[in-house]
Amino acid sequence: MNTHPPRLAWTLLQWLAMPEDALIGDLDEEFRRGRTSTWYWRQALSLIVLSPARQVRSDPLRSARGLALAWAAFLAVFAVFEVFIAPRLAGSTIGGYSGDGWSAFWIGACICSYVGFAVSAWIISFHRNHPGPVLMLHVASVVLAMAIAVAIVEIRAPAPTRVPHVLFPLVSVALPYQLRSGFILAPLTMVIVGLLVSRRRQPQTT
Amino acid sequence: MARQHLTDFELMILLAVLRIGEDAYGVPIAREIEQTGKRSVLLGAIYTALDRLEENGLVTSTYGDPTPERGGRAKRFFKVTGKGLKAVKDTQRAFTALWSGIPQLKGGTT
Repeated sequence: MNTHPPRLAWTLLQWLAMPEDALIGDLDEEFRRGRTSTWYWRQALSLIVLSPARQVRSDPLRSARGLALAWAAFLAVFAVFEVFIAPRLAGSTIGGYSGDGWSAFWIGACICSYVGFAVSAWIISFHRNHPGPVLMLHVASVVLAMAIAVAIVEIRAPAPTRVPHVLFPLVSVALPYQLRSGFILAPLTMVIVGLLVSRRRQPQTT
Repeated sequence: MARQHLTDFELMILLAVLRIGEDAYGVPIAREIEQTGKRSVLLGAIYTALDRLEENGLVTSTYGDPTPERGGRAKRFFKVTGKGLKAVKDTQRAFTALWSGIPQLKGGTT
């Protein structure tokens, strides 16, 4: 009989949800008594999904600080893109951006948004003390912002009309949506970057 | 200030802890609810509710010794306080009062 829980679920649980030892012990005990891997994954995922709420409840100040830092990093990456890169790419115009097609500008901006997500995840994950739940909180905030941004952009500038310049920060969040997979890929990018940073900082896993 | 009324899940947890007695930690609490309540539960949800109940003074918790079969992790044992017992009784009273006098519920359990 398999006595070790699914390694990936166990690792994600330890890092992203950071539940207390007694709870991990309960999960391990149940798994050793014959619960299935599916059962373990279900328990682990529910804890990971609930971790942002637990994080806010247990330490609101640190949560707010982490979110502010992550969003500042994300927007800073976009500010760099807007000032130094966007003017060189075709498709950008003064006072607004064309919203149709996949011009070099849009591709550059989309790549930039993922760089922004990765940098913000990297900054959070560099925190010494249990960064996982704060990262999950940031992921939740990005998904929420993405949904709001997509709605606003769709209303204000439905394709093929031009996106007003004032909406650029919103567009930057909504850009991954253009691929119709951003709601999956953006969180995945942040979690993978966070895991990589975390593993580099703490090589031991068991 | 602590809430006066328990949610159904909180009530189930408190009743499970009372039924189990001394050995009430996460695993048996979950099993008790699954077996008697006929519903599957998430251990994380049980801990979240127990943390809330502890904050409100309805349960207390203590840690046991780490054991090898749990990967060297200790069990967290829960006990219902006097305040918790009173909350259970109050809830039972409220439910009983609501139950009485409903014609559709007379003469059977279904």
